[in-house]
Amino acid sequence: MKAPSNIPRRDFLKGSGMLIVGISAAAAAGPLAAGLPRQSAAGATVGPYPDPNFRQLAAWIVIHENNTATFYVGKTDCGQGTGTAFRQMMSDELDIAYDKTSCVMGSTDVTVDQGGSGGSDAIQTDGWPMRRVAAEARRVLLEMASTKFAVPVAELAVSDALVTVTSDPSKKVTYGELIGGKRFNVTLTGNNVDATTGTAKVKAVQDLRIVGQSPQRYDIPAKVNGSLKWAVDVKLPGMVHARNVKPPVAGATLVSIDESAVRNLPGFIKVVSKGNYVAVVCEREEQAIAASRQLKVQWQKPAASPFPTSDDLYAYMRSATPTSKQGPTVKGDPDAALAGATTVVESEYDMPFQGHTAFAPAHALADPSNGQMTVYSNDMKSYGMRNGIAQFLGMPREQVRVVWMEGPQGYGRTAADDAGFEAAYLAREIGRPVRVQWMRHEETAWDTKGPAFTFKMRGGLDAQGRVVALDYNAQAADYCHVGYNEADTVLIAQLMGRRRATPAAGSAGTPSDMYEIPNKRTASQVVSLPLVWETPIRTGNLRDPNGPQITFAAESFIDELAAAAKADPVEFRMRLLTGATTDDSGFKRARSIAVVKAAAEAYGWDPRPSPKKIDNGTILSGRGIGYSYRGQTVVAEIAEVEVNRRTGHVWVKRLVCAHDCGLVINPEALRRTIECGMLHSLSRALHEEVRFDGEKPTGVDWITHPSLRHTDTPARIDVVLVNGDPNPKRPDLPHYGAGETICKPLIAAVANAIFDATGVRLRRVPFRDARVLEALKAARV
Amino acid sequence: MSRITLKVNGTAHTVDVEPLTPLLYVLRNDLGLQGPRFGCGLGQCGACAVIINGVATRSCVTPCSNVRSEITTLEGLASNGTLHPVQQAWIDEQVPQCGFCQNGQIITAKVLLDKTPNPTDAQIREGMAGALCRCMTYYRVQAAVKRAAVTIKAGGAA
Repeated sequence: MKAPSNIPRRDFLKGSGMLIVGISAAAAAGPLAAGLPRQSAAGATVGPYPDPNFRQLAAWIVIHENNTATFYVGKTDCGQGTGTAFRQMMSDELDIAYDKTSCVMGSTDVTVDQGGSGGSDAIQTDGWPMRRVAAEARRVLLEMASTKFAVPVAELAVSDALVTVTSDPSKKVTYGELIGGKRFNVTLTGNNVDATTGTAKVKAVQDLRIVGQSPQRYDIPAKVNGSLKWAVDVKLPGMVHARNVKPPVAGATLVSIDESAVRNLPGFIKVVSKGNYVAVVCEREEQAIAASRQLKVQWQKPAASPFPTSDDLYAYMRSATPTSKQGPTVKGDPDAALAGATTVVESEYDMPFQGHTAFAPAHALADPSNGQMTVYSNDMKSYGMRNGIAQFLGMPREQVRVVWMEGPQGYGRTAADDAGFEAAYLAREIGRPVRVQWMRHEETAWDTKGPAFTFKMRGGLDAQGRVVALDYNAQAADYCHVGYNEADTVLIAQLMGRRRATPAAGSAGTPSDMYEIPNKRTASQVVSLPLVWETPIRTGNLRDPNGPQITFAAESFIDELAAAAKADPVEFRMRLLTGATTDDSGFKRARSIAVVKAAAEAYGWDPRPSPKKIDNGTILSGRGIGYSYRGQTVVAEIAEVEVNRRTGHVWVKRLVCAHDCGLVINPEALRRTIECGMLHSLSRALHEEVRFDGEKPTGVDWITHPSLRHTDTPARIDVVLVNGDPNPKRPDLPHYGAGETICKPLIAAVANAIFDATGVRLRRVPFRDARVLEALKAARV
Repeated sequence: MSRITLKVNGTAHTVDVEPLTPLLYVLRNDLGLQGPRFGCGLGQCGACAVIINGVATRSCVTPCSNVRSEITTLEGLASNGTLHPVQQAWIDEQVPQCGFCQNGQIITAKVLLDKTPNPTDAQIREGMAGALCRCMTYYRVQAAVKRAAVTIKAGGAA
């Protein structure tokens, strides 16, 4: 920002709304004004823990005397390298080398509340205030240099945290020298944290130098040499270990506990129970595990079956009375169009419950020292956990803090939420730091699930093979969808009987595409399983909560229509995308067309209808495409499969993704996120299903609940980062959320490829060998 | 409780624990090591892998009193401050997402390459099959194994 030369600086600063002049922008009072925690003489934080004030620059950025910077952001990194991306964006705006910066994330006492992770919003939403505050810090530092050298800001140059007087390069000062070890004392504005801003403007896209580069992720070296301290690694003096004892079947009620079998075990401290929540606390971890196995607990099974079996699930869902309905949304006259269509295609699709199934079971360590409660957790929404635990324990928020640390993959509402509450409750009961961790069988069985879906779709083609009507209906088993860190829905609260009167309605949803279809109806319903609370079959957000399910059905069905029209699947989609020219402000139609084209080109797509001619070989190969968007991020994905007609085994040999998320911050990190996101959906396509009998999940480990393995890995993955923006040089090219969209089209792309290879349409996920073989045999392939 | 002596990464330690305590908890909670981690407690995922007698051993199902030989953990792979070529390949390929499983991936890869210095793609896929990853970093893991094999063959410290 340039200070207009004809206005006295003092007046200019007043006019800009900033009540600071020159060097007073740095003041010793900064940390307190920013709400940073008080520290004891020994340097340890003792609480209470007021909220860092997002309207204070000092809460976001600290410039150190050695001319390095630390960024404090209220996000967490689930392993996609967002911390590296934040550093790139903020370094670029601040004009400091990436290597001179570091990033602190997600601990409620030292970083402003940006909500933690979720919704792929880190770059898209939270990146903006980060860029603006960094730009503001640069502006303020230039003002300080202007005062120091008594020259207008316009006559200063800044590069890599060094400010020089343009006319006399011998006059130079570093950011670190300017601020002299103090903190910023600069007030920012904004009605909420997302709107936080100073008066400086962010740079135009063309002026960004670090954004768009691929510095290596700073977190990786410590993850490969064993030095990183994870949430599972925190050790505190006097800490003890807890393990839960969960009801053996869903909806069971506690009758009695016989402690005699554990009372004399080495290290035994206490059995804690309230309602149907039971935990055992011991001095050592292996002691707590042994005690939780040996404790004798008598449970009463519920009178009614809590849910159908997983084999009966879809029939149950189709006959259930909906708990809520969305839509219908109607365009044109779909019934008349279907009645008049030359060809009508009808299909039903099923998606099972699928788990997050975190690689390490849920865990947390809670410390009740000093009358405060500190929770060490990998929960991706640390701020929500702090609020929820304060409410759950009846403590003032200021006495609770959550220190976020790295952990196993999150990808949504996992049981990490539940473990944090359990650790805090147990720590208060015991009066010592308590570490709790779920066992593998608990995690696999009781973690929150992505909802199961059934779909019914109808489509009509005219004599020329054009789509004249589409009728979409979805049902999701999503009633009582569990939110994040809510004191009346976390599992310990449910088991203790502290539950809200009205369960969350849940949602089903409709496809995300830019297809132009003249007559269209979309409607969806939510249905409930018989048991609503205290059930392991509970739903919570899983990596684009409903997108993979919906897109499996929607993009499989588009393929069915293409096959009925004897059209090439890519050309068929292109006709639907180019059927209108209207676009939205983000050019989503143009960008959809661009990614479908880019994916086909990268794959080397040979236009022809599916299925291909089936030969006599054991291995049948084929290719399939899927496309979707989430917000403004659009993707097209192509899978090439080999299907073994003797075993039913499907190997996805090659994957292609064309991806457009607007401005890319770190291309190499994004490529890896895309590769892994596609493989996560591939695991859901080929393996993952929450299986249950009439009273409990039957998948409890990696054998009974399989996941993708090295042997499933494609031989080749191509990622094309498309910038489909019609004007890529525009100065405000936004950065959209890159992650979750990746997961949407992949399952359909695999199903479409299997159809191309075999002529057999798989309409129920997952495509395990036995199911595929059965379908091949039924079709006499 | 009984006193058990374990040699880990070149140093002998004596701990006082129940003899059947899984090695994992002794390494983590008594010796302060962070490389091996709890993932399943069933020997199915590889998170807890350590190297004993050249074998990638699941420490979560190995009673500590059964261990007679030296244990090498992730922390012990580097020598004289230089990362093992497998670890360096992991950085060069930027393999991890969350990274929680990578102990199992790296230990399994190290043992695989010790036994099979020039693995085929099929040998990598089969050899690594027991190391699970829920972020699904498999594609880059396999690339990193190939990269490490090249480095080791070219004379990088193994």
